[in-house]
Amino acid sequence: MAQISEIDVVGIDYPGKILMDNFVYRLNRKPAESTSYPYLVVCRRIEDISNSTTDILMVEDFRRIEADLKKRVKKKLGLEVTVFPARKQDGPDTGKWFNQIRNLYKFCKLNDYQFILSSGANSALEMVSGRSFESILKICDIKPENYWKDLTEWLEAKYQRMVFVNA
Amino acid sequence: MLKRRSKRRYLAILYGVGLQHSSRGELSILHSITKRNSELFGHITTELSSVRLIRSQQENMIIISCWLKYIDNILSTIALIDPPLVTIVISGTLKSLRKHLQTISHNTYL
Repeated sequence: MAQISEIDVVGIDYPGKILMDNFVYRLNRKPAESTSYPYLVVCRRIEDISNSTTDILMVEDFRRIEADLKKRVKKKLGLEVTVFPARKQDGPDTGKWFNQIRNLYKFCKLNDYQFILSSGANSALEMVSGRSFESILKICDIKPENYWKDLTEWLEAKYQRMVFVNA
Repeated sequence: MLKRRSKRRYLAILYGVGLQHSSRGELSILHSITKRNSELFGHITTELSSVRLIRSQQENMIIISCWLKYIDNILSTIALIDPPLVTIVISGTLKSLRKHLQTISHNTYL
């Protein structure tokens, strides 16, 4: 599904076993030992951030946490917005969601954080194709080519800092 | 003055197994796309997009077309719709879209 949606690397919750290549696993905390798979430590609340281990903070309401972010969050942290909640919003709220993306992207650029737009999918059918991501980015005045380039570089830097067993 | 013909794009869209594969089901999906597009981008833009339904032979899939100028609106509408839909192929002609679909195994996406 990822291939036909033109997505090269998919981030999913670690199911307890390694499924296949082209997955990066989302964990709640850093594993105690070296792993044989790439992972990212994802945090849902700004209060729970551990600056040494957290890779991604999920942003639900950017306006509410904007002031806190600068104080509490280290540079290069990924700030992630998901598409899934916006599916259930009405027109005005979706409009605000688009504006949140635009503001968060600007904030990330100014303060050296990594902006991440993800589907938040719980099933294959909830995935968002690469081309649809690009359309959402364009509507928010974000150049898709810049977004993908920055994200690839950020992800590669994360891979380099991980130690894989049997890699 | 150059006379340029406006271009259309054809999109193959996957929908959930819960939704019925019938002409009525396909029309209701088209209606949900145009309704959501109107909510997000307005009625005028939706009309100008000229979204049309084209029958698909494959189960759980519809093909629609729209003007190229409005493709970003339609794609983001599809990404922001509930129940979820996934755009799997976009093409400039119906023939190449169907050719592309034949190369994808049905099991790949269901």
